[in-house]
Amino acid sequence: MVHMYNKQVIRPALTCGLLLLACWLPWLQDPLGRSYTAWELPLETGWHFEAPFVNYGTLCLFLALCFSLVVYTHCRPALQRTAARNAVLCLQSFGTLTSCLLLPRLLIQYLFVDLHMLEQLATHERVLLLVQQQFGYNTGAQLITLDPNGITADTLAGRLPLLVNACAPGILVVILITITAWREFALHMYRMGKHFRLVTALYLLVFSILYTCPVAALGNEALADTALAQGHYSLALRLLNNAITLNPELDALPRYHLERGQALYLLTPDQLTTESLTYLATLYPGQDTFSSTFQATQQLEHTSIPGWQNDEIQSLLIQQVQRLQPLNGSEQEQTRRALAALPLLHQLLLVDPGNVYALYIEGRIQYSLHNYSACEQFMGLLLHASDNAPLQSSAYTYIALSQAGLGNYTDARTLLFLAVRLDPEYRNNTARQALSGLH
Amino acid sequence: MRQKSCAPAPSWWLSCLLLLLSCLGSGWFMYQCASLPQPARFAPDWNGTGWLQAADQNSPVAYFRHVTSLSVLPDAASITISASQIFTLYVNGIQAGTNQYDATHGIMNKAYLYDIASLLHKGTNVLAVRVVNMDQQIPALRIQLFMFPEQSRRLMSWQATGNSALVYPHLLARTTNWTSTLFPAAGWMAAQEHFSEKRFGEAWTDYNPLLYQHPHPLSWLNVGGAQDGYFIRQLDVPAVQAAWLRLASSGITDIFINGRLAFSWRNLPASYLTGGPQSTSSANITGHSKDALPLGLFNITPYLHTGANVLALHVQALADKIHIAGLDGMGAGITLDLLLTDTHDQPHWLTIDHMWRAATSSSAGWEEGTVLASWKAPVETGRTTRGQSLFVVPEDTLPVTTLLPFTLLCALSGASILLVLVPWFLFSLLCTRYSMYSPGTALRIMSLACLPALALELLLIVLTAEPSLPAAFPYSAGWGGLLLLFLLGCEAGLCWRLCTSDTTLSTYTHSTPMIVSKHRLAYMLRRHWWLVTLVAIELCLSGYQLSYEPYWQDELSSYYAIQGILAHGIPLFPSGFLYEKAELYSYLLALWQLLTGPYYLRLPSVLVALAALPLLYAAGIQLFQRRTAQLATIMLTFSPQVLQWSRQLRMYELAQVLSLLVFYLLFRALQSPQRPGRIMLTILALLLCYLSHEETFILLPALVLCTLLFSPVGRHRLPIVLTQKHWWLAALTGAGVIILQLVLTRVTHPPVLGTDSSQRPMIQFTLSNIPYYLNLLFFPTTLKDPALPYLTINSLLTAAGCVLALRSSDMRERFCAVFFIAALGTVVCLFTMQAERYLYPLLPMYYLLGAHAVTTLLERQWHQLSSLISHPGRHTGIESEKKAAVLSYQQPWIIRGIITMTGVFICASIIVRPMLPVSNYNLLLSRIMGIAYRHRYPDYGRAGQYIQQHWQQGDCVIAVAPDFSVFYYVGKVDYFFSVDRALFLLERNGHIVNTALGATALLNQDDFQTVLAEHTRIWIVSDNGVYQAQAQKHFRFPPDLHLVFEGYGSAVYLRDG
Repeated sequence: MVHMYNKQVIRPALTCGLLLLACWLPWLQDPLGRSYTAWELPLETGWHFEAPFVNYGTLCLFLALCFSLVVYTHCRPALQRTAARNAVLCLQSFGTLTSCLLLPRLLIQYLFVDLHMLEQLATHERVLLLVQQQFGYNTGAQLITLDPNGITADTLAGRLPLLVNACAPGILVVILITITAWREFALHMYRMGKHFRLVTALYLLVFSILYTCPVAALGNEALADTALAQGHYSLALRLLNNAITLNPELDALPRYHLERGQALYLLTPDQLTTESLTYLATLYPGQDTFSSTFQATQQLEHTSIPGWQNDEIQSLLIQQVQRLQPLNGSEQEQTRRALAALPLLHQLLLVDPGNVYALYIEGRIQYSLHNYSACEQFMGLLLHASDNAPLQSSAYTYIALSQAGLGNYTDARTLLFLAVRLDPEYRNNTARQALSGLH
Repeated sequence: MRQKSCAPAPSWWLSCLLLLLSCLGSGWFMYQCASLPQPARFAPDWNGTGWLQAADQNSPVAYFRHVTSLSVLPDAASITISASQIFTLYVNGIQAGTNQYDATHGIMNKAYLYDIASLLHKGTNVLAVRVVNMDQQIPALRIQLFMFPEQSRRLMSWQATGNSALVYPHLLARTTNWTSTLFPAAGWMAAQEHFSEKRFGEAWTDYNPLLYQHPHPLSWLNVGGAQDGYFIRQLDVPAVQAAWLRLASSGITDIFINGRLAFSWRNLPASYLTGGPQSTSSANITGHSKDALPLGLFNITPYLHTGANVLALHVQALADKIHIAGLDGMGAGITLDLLLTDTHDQPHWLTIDHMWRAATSSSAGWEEGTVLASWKAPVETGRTTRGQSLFVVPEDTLPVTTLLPFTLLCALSGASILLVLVPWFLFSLLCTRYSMYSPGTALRIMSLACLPALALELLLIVLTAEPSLPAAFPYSAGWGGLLLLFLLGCEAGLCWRLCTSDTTLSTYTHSTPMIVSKHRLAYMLRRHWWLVTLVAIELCLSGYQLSYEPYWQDELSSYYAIQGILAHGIPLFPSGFLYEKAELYSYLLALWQLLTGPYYLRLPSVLVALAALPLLYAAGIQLFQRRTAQLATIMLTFSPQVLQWSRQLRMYELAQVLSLLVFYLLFRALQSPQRPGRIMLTILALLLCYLSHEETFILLPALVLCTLLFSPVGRHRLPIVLTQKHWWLAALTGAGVIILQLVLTRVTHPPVLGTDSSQRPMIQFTLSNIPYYLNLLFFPTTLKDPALPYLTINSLLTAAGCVLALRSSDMRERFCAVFFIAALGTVVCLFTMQAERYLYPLLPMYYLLGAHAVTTLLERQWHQLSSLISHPGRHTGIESEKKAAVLSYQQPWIIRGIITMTGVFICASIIVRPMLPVSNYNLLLSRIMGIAYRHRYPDYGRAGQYIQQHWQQGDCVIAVAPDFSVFYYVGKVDYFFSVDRALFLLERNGHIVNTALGATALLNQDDFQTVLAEHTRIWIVSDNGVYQAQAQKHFRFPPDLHLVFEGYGSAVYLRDG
């Protein structure tokens, strides 16, 4: 009796509790500090349906409601003899199946559908790693170690580690929900027999149809790649158009537009478009990307540049700054490199005034050039641009060192304490050694 | 208490899983054999060149230089080089290649080829090589320069020196001036040449030397300046052993072979390429002249077949925007040649000819050769400076994408499925026809016949990690055929057994039980002979040449603690600092030194490691079963970590054995909680364990948790131990001693000076260790430390073992799993330090759980098979399972053979994988197998010897290396550069000194300048690595400081006024 009670009441109650917990915990953690709760993660299927209330938070809350009704019905034996029982059983079936597929749904969404989110994670991860390389001390390891130059959201193998690294505690709860739901599923299957099997088959069919489009979009894109290699540019363009019809999220991806750019440029080399211009800019590393692409695009479009192109230009400018290595080398060499990098960083800030990489590197360069006020200004902007604690700790450190450079030792000390407080793992040696007074 | 677990009901899902795994296994093998070019090995042509050595060699580092003058630049120039052991090759000051990565990953017996034509210039050229030997041998070099049209050139006039002072005359900063033409190498002597092949072994190369020695192609094909070009040619290929394509193009290139897109490549000049000597292929592609183009080497053997083949190339030119010498205005263009090696090993070159066809736009199916008749011949242009404009680079160094076409993937999948399923189905059909088994049962039984072949494939895949095995091992037709035969053999044998089951079932006879001898020792030896053998093996592996490695800094802390005990009765360091760590170990070692002298201080660790084996076996038998205990003991014997730590003057081995003892005694105590003796013994072991190494505090949470969870239940459903006085007494005693030790440590530690990362609390809740330990256990290669063993298979098994044990109804298994998980969780989430050695005390439990997973899975297979065979009809429930379990011990040889072979192959895989590569595993094994080995710890001994030979009154020593190492080998440390060392500082007589030696800390440049002003002769002993780099970041070194000695992991600088 106790055993049955356990199975019919405690398990659904546990699942309900976990679902409610999952609603309020962060699910994904952006490398630059922002956390995404279930309410901020839209439920996407690739069918172009967007509504502000359709998100994982709503889904979890709805499922929690289903399970709470199940618990309520089981706690009231009188209710089990009424017609409500069947309705509750249906709800329980739906809740169990949906909970079982909560994690697979999330994975499919971020690996195949919502590619823009992954592209953003990739950009932020790359920027953060590049900035961390300049800290001068070791920073925390990633769950899956990634090389900033190898990060890509273009392939499945590249997207998976990005997603794993971005997992926040909410995902652990989702995994627990999925496990408990699977156990519930097995029990349900045993109790309800073939009716439930039929429902399950139907549910899986609907689920598969929902996600057919984005998978087909990726298939079209892969075929377009082959067509480009074969030189069938018109076919490639057609396939790429099909792909974006099937999954409009592709519009946010620079990779997609570069493929289009390649096809367009080779079909009509004389008629340059934004896409073909950007494609050409990526072909010739080391050229003056900003002037050749950004300005040309502005002339073409007479408006602000599209988001994907903005991302690509930023990426190219960061590559060029990285090549210069403005914070490495001897003092003289550093100054020379820094002076060469500053115009590029200014261009980067023009494209994106909140670019974390540009703000940090510019701040550091200004500090090494003894322009303490400028360093403070850039590091101050960085503090607003990112919530990442190690990044903020380093920013406070250089603001403090700049204050010390200006002779404000009391303020410098206060800021160093702030930097140390943001670094509970004792990694920020620059701040600690500056505080110790030994060096 | 132990319940014999019944075999699970034979199920379809397991059969399906096995068949799926078999299909995947065969698919993987076919993919490797049919689709990927397998590596080959070639004997380099040394042309009579011997091994070069420096005449004045007195250190493990040697420098070689050869100056040559060229009046005309060659069309091709390549270098074949091999060294004992690590080399770095420079051509005219540019690093052309190194084998650093390979050597640290166990690949030492290899020759390398480098194309250096574009690095040469008219006039004087310098070839320079730095060679380091980390195995107590003389560094030696074998090098051969090949130039075309001059042919092979035997370089006679090599200069060499083992005296680093002649190489870096000034400055602490290491420069590469010695590799340039202007360097005055007057003091260098002529290199000595030796011809002893056996001394260094035969080297091999990955590439056919002809690919580097053949002159670069001169002609370019283009499509008249168009940006997009399509080139195609039909090739009539005879039966070939290997086919290589050498290709350069003016832009993005897609290579199709027989209609299949094989490679995509963005060909850019050297100045645009990234990567360098750290890449695995070790060729530095960025060093070549700015606008030289890579001539990519592509192994196209698997893409070709005998007869007519089609090679098609699509090029999108980049040359109009990027300056590439000689390609301006060419548009899309290619230059290429093919090397075909026939079955008699004869080379045939195919160069550019009139059979090429080209177009500026594509048409349907062009890559398959449908347009050969309609397309026109391309424009052919020549170049004059071929040697300078191209350089040969293997495809794995370049940004090349290798593609597996969908059709090929489908074909491979289909073939692998057929290969597995057809015999399975046919044999099952035979069984159904000629035996009493129902079709369903026959199909399920036959699926189990795949197991041995799968296990054998796993072993073969594991063995690929050993670089000394043949290159194509095991992905060859021979091994593939063997695997297939093995699979068919198992299926046929099983089928035969099933068809004749009536007559053979009763033929098995029990072996005669062993009669207990009157002589207990003889009986024990007979019963546990394998354990004795393991102990003997462990003794040999651990005890061989214990003095091979120099003492490293941690060993020396133990050493000085012992000396402190012998001198003062307490573990005092030379500075007077009380070393309150591993007190028990220090006192035991002090006693050992008192009895045996100071020469065998590493031996106790070996002896303790030997004691761990029977102890683990005993614990394993108690907690699991005999086979599990045996397997775990074997795993521990051959564990690379055990062989590392058992050879050291360090407490880790003792801590591990005592941890195991605590684990075992606690289990025994929980079996009879009312007996006070057992828990008292456990607490005594715990205290000994804690005092042997304080880091074993990680056992404490596990101890408490297991006690509460596994204690028998008393009144009010509470653990009975809570109501037993002696348990409380034991707990209080243990806690009291531990708290006392902690208080003493805190009270006696000097006041803290300064702050830095060294002062991070060691115990703190943290999640930041999770990635490290996750990678260490499951993805060790991502940590990029070649010294770390490959534990992935073991960790997966341990994880499976934990799950199985936690799901088991057996209390003992759950006890082991909970204890291990709790202790592991403490290391990961509470102990802030990160190192592989902090998991070391848990290693026996780790292996026990891994062994448990293996034996459980094999046992289940055994029951499954027995149950199915014993019940030809439909399975009828628990009763039949029990019957099957009984019958399972009466199965004939074929059944036992299948399970035994599976077990043997799986166990061999598990044991062998962490041992590979052998040259990084164990000294004795390397010596027996004649494989090179290398030191793990720096050679401060030689540095100290040098200083002592040149010591003068009033000299001063500054350490830029671990202070203990410098003090032990040099005999004196006056100062040290304090970077990130706040925890190890104390104040004495107004000076900041270190806790180990009392040496004065140099905290900033002013301190350093003062020392420089006070002393005329200053020695700086450096690690030539991390310490030195850190010091150079924070301090400026005077220009009159010069390098006088260089070891493989140490350097000595002198300023002699």
